[in-house]
Amino acid sequence: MRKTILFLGLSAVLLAGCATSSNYINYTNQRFPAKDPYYTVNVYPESQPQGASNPYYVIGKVSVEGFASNGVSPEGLANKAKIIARKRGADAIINAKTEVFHYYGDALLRFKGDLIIYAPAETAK
Amino acid sequence: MRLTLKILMVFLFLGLLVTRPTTSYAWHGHSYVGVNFGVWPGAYYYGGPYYPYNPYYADPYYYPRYVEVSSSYQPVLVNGVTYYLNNGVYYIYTQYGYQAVATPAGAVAPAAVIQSAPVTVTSTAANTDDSFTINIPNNKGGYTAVLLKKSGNGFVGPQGEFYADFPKVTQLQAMYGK
Repeated sequence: MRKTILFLGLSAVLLAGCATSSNYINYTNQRFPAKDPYYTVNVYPESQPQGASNPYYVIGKVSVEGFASNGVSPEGLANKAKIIARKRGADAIINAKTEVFHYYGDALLRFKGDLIIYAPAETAK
Repeated sequence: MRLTLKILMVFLFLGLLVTRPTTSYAWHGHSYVGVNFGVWPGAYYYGGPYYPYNPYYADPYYYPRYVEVSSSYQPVLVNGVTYYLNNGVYYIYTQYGYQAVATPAGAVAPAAVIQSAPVTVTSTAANTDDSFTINIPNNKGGYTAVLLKKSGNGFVGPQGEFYADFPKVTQLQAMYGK
């Protein structure tokens, strides 16, 4: 009986992390080394386009979403996107926006953004 | 009986481990694959979580073999060169992805460039337990007051951006120092 309770508790803990789903679209075949877990990924909103003055490459697009009823928040989605960005080796997220779709009393929150890496000086044109 | 229970528990636990933590949509009665909810704008593809070559899969340990051409980056032909325009910025496509470039000579300025939303903060706002006003040096030689509000364990900036930790001046300067 105790084991069953332990198992159910463990299952609940594992399932607790399933509130969001993420998608990634690759724009390049190249791979970049993952960033340190403590690396700060800056998130620039769509309203603040990044010009070419600081050259960069857009390596892919990330999308993270989840339902508000599952405790998902815009901040949580952005953090999930940052984790994905670090794993992909991205320096920052640009064109970021959070969309909200209302659906039968619930709300689907979707974070979207483009992952970028800053171009090294020698490759910047 | 106890052995059977143990085996059952081990299999269930292993099943949980191999099941990707993907969507909550099953809890809402939706399917995983090819769902178009109709009431939401556009179709949205929820790829099979076990398909190793799924280009939509966010896990970097499953390297996708496909490279997508983004519909957000619209091709524009300028002086015989194909540029890609997204959010008012010109890009060229390279092996590393879309590279941001300066607006090419002869290119027509994009009709609608989304401008930054004005930051309305009062420099006299007092710091409270939940809000903090920080003066960030800007490019004009002055300071821009940036109001940060506490949200959960982090802080939210004037444009809704979230900082897990209290942001450094350099972070805020990137957004509000222009």
